[in-house]
Amino acid sequence: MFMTTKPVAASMKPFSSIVKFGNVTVPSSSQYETGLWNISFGLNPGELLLVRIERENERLPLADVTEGLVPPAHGTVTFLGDDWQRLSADHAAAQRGKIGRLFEDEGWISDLDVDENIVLAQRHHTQRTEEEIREEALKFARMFGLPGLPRGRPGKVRRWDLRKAACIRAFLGQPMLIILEQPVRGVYADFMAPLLNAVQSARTHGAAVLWTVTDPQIWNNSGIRAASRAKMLGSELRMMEPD
Amino acid sequence: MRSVFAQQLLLFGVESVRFILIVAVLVGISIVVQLDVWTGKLGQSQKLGPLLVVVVARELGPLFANFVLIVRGGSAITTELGLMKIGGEVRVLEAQGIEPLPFLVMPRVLAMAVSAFCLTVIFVLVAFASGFAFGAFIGRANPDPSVFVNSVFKAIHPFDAIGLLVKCLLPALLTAVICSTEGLGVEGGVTEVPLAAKRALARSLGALFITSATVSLLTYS
Repeated sequence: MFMTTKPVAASMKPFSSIVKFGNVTVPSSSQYETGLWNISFGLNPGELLLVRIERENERLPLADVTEGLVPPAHGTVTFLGDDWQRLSADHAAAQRGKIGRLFEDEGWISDLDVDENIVLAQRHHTQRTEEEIREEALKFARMFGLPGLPRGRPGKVRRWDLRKAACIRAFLGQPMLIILEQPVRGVYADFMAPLLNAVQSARTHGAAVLWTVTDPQIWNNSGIRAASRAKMLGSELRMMEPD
Repeated sequence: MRSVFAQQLLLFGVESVRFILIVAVLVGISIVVQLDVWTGKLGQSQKLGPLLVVVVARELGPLFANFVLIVRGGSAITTELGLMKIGGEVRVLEAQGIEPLPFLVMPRVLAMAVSAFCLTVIFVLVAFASGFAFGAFIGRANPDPSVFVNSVFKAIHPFDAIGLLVKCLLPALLTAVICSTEGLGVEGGVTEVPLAAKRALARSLGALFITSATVSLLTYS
């Protein structure tokens, strides 16, 4: 296990892109509504890629492939300069500890309380004290309009609070890459401002952000200062002109 | 991981204590009294200690404790992990860089082993105590507990302790591994979970009896 006091390891080898897709093709499977076809893009530190996905093809392997959970049939995906396919299981797990993700389908461990779910990855990957982790989580909780970290099992917590808790988890520990899978879906509009603040702050610290949307209103939101925008058309990713 | 271990220990061990107590009392009454009666009739009362150690401590204790654990804990492990797999929770762990083996499987394996050992000790002690108490109550056993305790302790050899440990720990470890593997191997829908649980229970029971028989054969040979 690779234990660090902070998620960003000083001994990392030099890299230009945080994540880079090179001609990545993933065949469609029963797990997803479509595959990926010959996708190439790179995300540098501080950049945000906003990807609009089609409602009928919402379940894409894009986030899983970015995290090295699904191997591409063709092409390579590198994270911090390392090809996921060439990493050992332990090293890959440690690298995933540097990624914050807001799952499209919430993604909670049902037999842990929500607050335990939030701090779980930081507890596992870093040597930060519990107090330190919770203090940072609490700051995010207040930022997202929660009085504290939600307690109780995920099944017992309100949907809105769960979405905010998912955001806290995604931003906790200054991750190098933040994957936001439709973060504002089903949440009140007042959630957008703190989210944009958190995204901006993370980008200032050098994190790259991959944000997927289906809602045209979110896609057209001028507050999301994306470095690049792309549309998923079926299994193809079409890059758009920069903002 | 510690909280998962504590949860599992509570589920497998602590919540099984009442059931194992009932079984131990009933086994104690039937086996200990029977042995006391028959060794007395055959004029072999001095053999009561060794027989009790062999039958209750070495054979029935680990067997019943593991049997209870398989029924209560084994099915729970497979069902829980199977539902976690189907519900995408295992994927969530992997996505956070947390490997399921140390996080989900190891605490369950350890909790099973600790529970098996504790339940076996409880079973053996309660079976002896209830057997003695009932024997004394119906006037078939020597009412002096020290005689009973002495005869049992004299019959215990260090080798028995090793055999007892192997017999209670090995099936528990196998049960946890089999049930976890079956649970994490669930693919498809929720309907696959009870099928996996059924397979896990059958395999765990098979492993229990095979392990028990093998250790007995090795001990006696």
